[in-house]
Amino acid sequence: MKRLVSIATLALLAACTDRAEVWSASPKLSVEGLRSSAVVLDEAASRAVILHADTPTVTSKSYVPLGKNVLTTAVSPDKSRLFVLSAGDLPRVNPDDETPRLTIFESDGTTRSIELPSTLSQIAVDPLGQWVVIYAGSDSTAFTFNPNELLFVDLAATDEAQRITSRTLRSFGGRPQRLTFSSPLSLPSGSKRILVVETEQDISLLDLDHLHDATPRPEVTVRLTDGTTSQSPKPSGVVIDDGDPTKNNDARIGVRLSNSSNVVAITLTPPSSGGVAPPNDFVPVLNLTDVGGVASDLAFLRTDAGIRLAALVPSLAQAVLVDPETSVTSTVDLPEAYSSLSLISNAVGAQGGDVALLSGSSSRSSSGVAFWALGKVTGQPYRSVEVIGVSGSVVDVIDVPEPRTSLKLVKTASNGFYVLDLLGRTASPLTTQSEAALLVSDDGERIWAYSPSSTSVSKVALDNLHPTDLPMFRPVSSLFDLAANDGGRSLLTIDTSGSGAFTALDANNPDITTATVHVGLTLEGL
Amino acid sequence: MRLTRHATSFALIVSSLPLSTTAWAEDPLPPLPANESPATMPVAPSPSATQTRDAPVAIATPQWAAPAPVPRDDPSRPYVSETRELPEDIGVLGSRQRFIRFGLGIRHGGVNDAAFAPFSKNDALTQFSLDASLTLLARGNFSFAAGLAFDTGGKDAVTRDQTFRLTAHRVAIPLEGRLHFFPWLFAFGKIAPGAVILHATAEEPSVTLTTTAATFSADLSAGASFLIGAQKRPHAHPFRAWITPEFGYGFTGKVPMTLEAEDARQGSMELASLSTRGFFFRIGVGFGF
Repeated sequence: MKRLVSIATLALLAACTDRAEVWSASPKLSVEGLRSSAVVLDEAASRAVILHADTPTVTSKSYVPLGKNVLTTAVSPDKSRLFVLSAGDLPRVNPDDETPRLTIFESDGTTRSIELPSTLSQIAVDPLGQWVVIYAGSDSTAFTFNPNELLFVDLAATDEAQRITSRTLRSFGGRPQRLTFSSPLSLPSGSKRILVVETEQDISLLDLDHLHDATPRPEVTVRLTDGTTSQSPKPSGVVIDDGDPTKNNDARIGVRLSNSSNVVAITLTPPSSGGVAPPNDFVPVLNLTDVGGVASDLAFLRTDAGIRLAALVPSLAQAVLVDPETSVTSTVDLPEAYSSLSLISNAVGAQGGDVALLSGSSSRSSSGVAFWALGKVTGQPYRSVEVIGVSGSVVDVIDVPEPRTSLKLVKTASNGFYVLDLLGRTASPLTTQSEAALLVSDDGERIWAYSPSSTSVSKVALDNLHPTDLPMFRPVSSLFDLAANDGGRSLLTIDTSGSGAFTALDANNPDITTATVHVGLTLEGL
Repeated sequence: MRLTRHATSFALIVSSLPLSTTAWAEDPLPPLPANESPATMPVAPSPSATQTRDAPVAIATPQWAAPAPVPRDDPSRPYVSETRELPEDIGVLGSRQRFIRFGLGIRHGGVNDAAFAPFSKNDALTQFSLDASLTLLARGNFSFAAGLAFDTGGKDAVTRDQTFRLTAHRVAIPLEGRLHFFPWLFAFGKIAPGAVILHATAEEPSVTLTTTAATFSADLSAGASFLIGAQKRPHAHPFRAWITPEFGYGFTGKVPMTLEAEDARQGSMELASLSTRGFFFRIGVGFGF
């Protein structure tokens, strides 16, 4: 009898166990979109909810663990992968505490996790999909950290020993600010890929093809100052160009500076044959050119006279064309203080010279867009500058994928946006009741305009610019146009408030009356 | 709607109980021991017999019968009741074995299912219990009773910034085997098949989601009942009170927890299927007669 009472007492005591803490934790949600899935990161629960479109209106869910203390996330440019960098347990005091890691979500729903040797907080993603470089940011939480340490994660490596390569850049006082991956460049020793690292005062060039060498090749550091002055030119962006495809000595890197009117052209040339052979098989040759003011954007352009480094100088409302070999400049007066420049030659099928799209920015109080044709005519180094009637400061210029690459979206600071037809040189305005976020579908068929945290969503068909309003049942925090497994397209709107919710509709034929709304996204499967 | 249907069923079963009681009242009492046989009882003397109060005649009054009134030969004297306390026969179970009982109590148990977490900060579920039972069979120290039981209770919790509520109703038919150690104590083992009805609510800022679903249940339990208060008159059916502690395990099936808004287009929530199975303890007070 006594034993029975004891068992009963124990059983009842066991019946008063508190639930896991995660049930009481407030959700802290963020969402990233891939080609065919959306990933909801629930940091408080240390897990991710992957939403996959089975059909346009049927969404399957899967749940995967997420590293603790997420530092940053990045999506590859082709939206095939999501990278989540996490610090693990902080502080790490037990052997089984979680270490820093990189979790990779593939668009097909699979995931993998790579443990990292140190806690670094920034990610640079290779647009060609082979590399991820992890480096320190200014917000590092470690007591001591090496800001010039770079962790190269080789996503294509089959040998685990080559999965992660650590390198520390030689520093003259700078620390990495931005990393840019080149496409394969024709260099003297063959086709190579270069990583360009901008610090606050210089440029470092790493040969990505020799990272796994037993004796690593040192990076090439391009100092932008001669050390005689305390003021260092500060790089604020680079552009890379392979030059003439038939030559292997004209690959160039253009650098603009945030505190100088100079632009820098670095040509990667073969090393001289005499003397001690350098560790790398290219040598940088610098050309500094004064363009009259701080350049806001750079691009290598093809003109009738050859390749030119074009710099936009908003303070002078000018564009400056620099011959990278001779540093000879030609100035082009512009009707507005345009601050951004993008090549649209392929989209418009340009002949005899590149065509660039010039746009203003709200930060410079410049407005409108213009087409800049680089072909040469008598008396001037370009063919034409044609202004398009876009009113208001340009906030963003958004590309439209195939098959409508000849269209671009111009988002302005006012309520609305323009659909720019590069071939017809037209700008069709579309007005919204409030400031709208825009998403272009990956199939290039439609635009989604929505007002974040409200229920207002509109679809604009790109073939006829017909807008259709779709008032949602729930507020929209993020919106994704996903490829469904059955070949259709699914519109997924996600509400990150509360415990999270999503709405799925057929993106091609959206009908709110047939939408499926799921609430409690972060509670399911917990 | 389902809940209403179950409530109706419960009311029908409760209303049928008096019929069962009537049938039971016609059952003969269990045989008395030999020394209590009515054949040995003297006939009560007639008032005309020559008797005096100074020399009373010993009357063998049956224990379940009321004592004979003492004749009042002098009406001027104040009446004094001369009813005598008769010794209780502790060997007789009588109405302490065969009785109809109504009980109420508190059932406290654990829910051994992680799907319960959204609705409660711990895994405990406390319910209010009502039951009614009837002794159907008595053989020696053993008896068997059956009846109807109803438990109801709920929990609520704020889970991930959202308020959840769960109400659990359980309707069961307790089948109870009793072993009477003493007239004031019997132990019992019970199996109570039935149904559990769960009603869940999730409150969103803009919409309330609900679901109601039912599944089978079965309690397997053991306990004891202690008679308190009136111990006497085993051959009558006085009002008696029993204290009943009980311990057991409740089995239930899984109930799908798909909560929906009144307008289903406004949202649904798919929580994990829930079973409220687990150990429980019940303390109750039963009233029998």
